[in-house]
Amino acid sequence: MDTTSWQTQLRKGAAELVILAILGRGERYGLQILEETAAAGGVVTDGALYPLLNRLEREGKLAARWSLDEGVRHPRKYYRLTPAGERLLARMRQLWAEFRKTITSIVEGEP
Amino acid sequence: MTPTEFPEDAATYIAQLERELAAMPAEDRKRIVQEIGGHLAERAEIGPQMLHATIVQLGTPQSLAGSFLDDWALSGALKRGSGLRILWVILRRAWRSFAAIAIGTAGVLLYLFSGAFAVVAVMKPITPRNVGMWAGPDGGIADFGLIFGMSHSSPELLGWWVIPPSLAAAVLLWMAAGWVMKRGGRLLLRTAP
Repeated sequence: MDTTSWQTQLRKGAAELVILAILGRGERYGLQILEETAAAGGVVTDGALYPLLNRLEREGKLAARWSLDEGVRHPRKYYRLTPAGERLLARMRQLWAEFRKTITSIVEGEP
Repeated sequence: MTPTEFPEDAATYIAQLERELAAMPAEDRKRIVQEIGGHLAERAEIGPQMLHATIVQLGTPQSLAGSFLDDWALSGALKRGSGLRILWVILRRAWRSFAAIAIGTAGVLLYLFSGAFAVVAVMKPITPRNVGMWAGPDGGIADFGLIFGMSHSSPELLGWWVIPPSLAAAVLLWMAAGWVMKRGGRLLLRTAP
């Protein structure tokens, strides 16, 4: 049975929380975020990351700055959480914990 | 690394992406192209295989630009707050999302019903005999609205009183459509591919 579509939907739903959680640890640029998500199983693809970052920035959840780092020949765009982004992350974390508990209890039969 | 120093594949990708983003304001387009260009440049430094894999991961320039443009159009419509504008943007992306089809259909139906009630209210003073509510032979409501080419055996029941409830229904349905479009638009932004 093909579960690719189901996995895609799961990833889509989790992508925003994953990005906010990574940026909750500190400022990052796109490639750094991708490398961290890849290390954790690749929840976000290159093609999904940038439109999502763009939207979160437009919504005021992220702020960004350009930096020409030493030894790099092109500017990098660094993202960080705004206060609104921090509030969203806190709320999403809370909802995620409740959701995970419910699903674990149903799927794995844990009390 | 400037675009002219990119490997050919990356330079072609960036040029196509920029063309596909033509509908966006120049400043937004420039920022996106610069960021994706930087991403490709860093990957290209690792090697041609990594660059190729990155281009595959990014998707075609058309699909990547489509994601930016869809979000930009929907965010702009949501910011302006016009339900009809949001509906138009949602319908344009309906071909690739079941959620957009469902939300778009709900919006179209709500706006159509709103419009139908508004027409009833407006047409009553213009053609009073054709607008109203008529009872059927069993006493239930047989017809309601603007009706041409039918003769009714029973008298029209509401008279001029058909206007206030029709206007109220039109306004309520219009507001409901706007609410559904805003909620639906935000949902689509959150679940965009």
